[in-house]
Amino acid sequence: MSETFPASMHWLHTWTGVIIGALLFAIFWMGTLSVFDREIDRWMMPATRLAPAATVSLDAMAKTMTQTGAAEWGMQLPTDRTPIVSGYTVTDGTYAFLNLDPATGKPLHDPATRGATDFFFPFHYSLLIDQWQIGKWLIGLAAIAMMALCVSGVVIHRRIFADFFTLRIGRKTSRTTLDLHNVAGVLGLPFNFMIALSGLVFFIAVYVPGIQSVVYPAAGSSFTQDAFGGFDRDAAGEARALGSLDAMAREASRRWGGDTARIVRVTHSGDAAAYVSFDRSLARRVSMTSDAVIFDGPTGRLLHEHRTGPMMTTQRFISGMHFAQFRHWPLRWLYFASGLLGCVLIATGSLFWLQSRTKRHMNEGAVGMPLVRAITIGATTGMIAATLAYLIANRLLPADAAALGQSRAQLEIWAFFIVWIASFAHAALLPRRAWAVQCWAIAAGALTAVASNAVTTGDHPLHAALRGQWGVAGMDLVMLAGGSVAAIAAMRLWQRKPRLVAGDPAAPALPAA
Amino acid sequence: MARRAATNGGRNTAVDIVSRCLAALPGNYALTIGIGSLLAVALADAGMARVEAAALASMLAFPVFLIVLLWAVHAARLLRAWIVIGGGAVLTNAAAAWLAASPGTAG
Amino acid sequence: MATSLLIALLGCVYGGFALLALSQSRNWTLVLPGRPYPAARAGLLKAGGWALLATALIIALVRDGPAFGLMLWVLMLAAGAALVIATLSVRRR
Repeated sequence: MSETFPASMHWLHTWTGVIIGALLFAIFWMGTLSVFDREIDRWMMPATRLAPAATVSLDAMAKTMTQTGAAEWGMQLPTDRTPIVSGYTVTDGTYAFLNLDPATGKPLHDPATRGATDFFFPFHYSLLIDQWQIGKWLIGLAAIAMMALCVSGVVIHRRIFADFFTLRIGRKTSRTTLDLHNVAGVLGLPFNFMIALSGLVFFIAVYVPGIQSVVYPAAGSSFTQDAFGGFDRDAAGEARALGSLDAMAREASRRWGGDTARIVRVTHSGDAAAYVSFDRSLARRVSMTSDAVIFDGPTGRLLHEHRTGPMMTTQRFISGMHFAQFRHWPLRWLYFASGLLGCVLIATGSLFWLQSRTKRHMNEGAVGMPLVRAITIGATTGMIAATLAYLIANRLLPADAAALGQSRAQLEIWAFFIVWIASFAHAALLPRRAWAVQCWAIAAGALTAVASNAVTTGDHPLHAALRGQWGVAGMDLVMLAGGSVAAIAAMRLWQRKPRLVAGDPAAPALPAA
Repeated sequence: MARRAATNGGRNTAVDIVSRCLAALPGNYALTIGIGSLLAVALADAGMARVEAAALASMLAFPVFLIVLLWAVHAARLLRAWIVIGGGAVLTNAAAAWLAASPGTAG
Repeated sequence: MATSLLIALLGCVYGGFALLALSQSRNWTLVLPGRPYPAARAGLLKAGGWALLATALIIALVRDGPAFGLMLWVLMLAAGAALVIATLSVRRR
């Protein structure tokens, strides 16, 4: 491309950043939220803010689940982060979800929200575009771009060691932005590279199926079944009651050296050929192991045990580094901080490009500039404001809300997208104060979210902390801290003399340079 | 770097840039799948369980893709980038298919 | 025990990066403006810094074993460096 390798990498870094920056920010932001998805779920589903159950009887849960009459059902068992049992049933290929109280086995009220685990998390890995897996492929492209940005960033950083500790926050805005971008990039380098690579490695069956199909040419066997486990047999057509799940769970735990199960699945429930699969808990290891034990439903006899070889074990370990399903609070907070640092890295990268190009492009009368500016503002501050709108809608919509044929859970998502789109429009139409106004919106939104949680559930941070709801209290405190940062940023931006920006109808014609 | 200046005249037209992106992304993908497939078949032939061979080759595909991408962006001559990537993709995929189809393959 | 090791770990990475920062003359003059930069002993500061970071690795491995320990160390390095950078940045103003 260019004469020297750094020059080529500079070109790559700049244009990859400009084209993919907004997408990358969305993925990083949603991933950062997903680090605390269970805690956000508790915040958004007040009925599930339960004290941890002392003992959990799988047979009591199974009673409730079999009463649904579904032939196939499963449950995610409680952990230290999730005090409830999340059950699902499959009837004719359609999934239905219900939460159970682990202490009693009785169903809880429908939370009427998709929470974080069913909105932020799928946004993070699929952009909610499931058609032909377009969303996953866009994210794969962004992950490759992230790795290319990491490498090219290191190559073009001229003083990586000399400037390692340098962060000059001062009057020269573009200097501050670049220092911040460099510091965030260097400190976050191991995390960012690892998180992009491990995200790709997790989805090997999506991104590089051609490599697997060459050794799995025949139908009837598949890479995914061999790699991730899988057991199947037909129903017998003869009714028979399910044996004791608790006994099976004890046997599974014995085989796993004391680890408990995290998911239980029952197939052909009530049939003589029913079988029960137990997936191993992820709490005590980095690896997102796919160890599973499958029992005969009526008798509890062992049918199959899935264990992985060294390469798939490596794949599960790398996946586990990405998913962070382990029980390790310091690491969880460090993941969250690293994710936020990644957001800062992406935002300052886009900002630096805008700051260094604005004047030049304005003089040249380029049209792309206002567009990139509006996209950057909407994709960063707009995304955060939309997230808060989703949370506020969750607290303020009445329990039985429905409008235009949309359920309450769907209306929350509408709130997210309406605010997000509005933030792009706002940034495009009123660019001069757009950053400041949207920072104010974030500050106000964070305060409103915390207040609405306190008013509608009584769990203000102190109350929540005192009754052991650390997830809820933490969520409120993080929002208050984030809102304060946004308010400070808004005040600084507001005090600054509004700079001329390209595309602003109010901007006078500049004298030719 | 007189050689570089002579080969592309120091300019990159829009067509050059699009062509380079095609080599660096879809072309690169075809090459990466070829290299990965060849490795998976070879490892399986050498006696590794095929799920393990496929898993290892699949994981290595991502660093391979990244390195080829960076090389394709920098490669001095666009034509040579296309010959290496396109030719490599055809050769590796064909070799993998031939190895997989030949008798004695653990498959 | 786990908590005190975590605090020791943070102390080591912060101290380690602080020493590494002080081994650079411009950070030294920023933090200790009255004292001349000991150019001859900058190597000592550097060695001390690396030693503390290595100690941090040992603490992390003892606390959490190889897998969690290594991840904790790498991410704590970033946290410690960020705190040192924040300290210097506040001193600069």
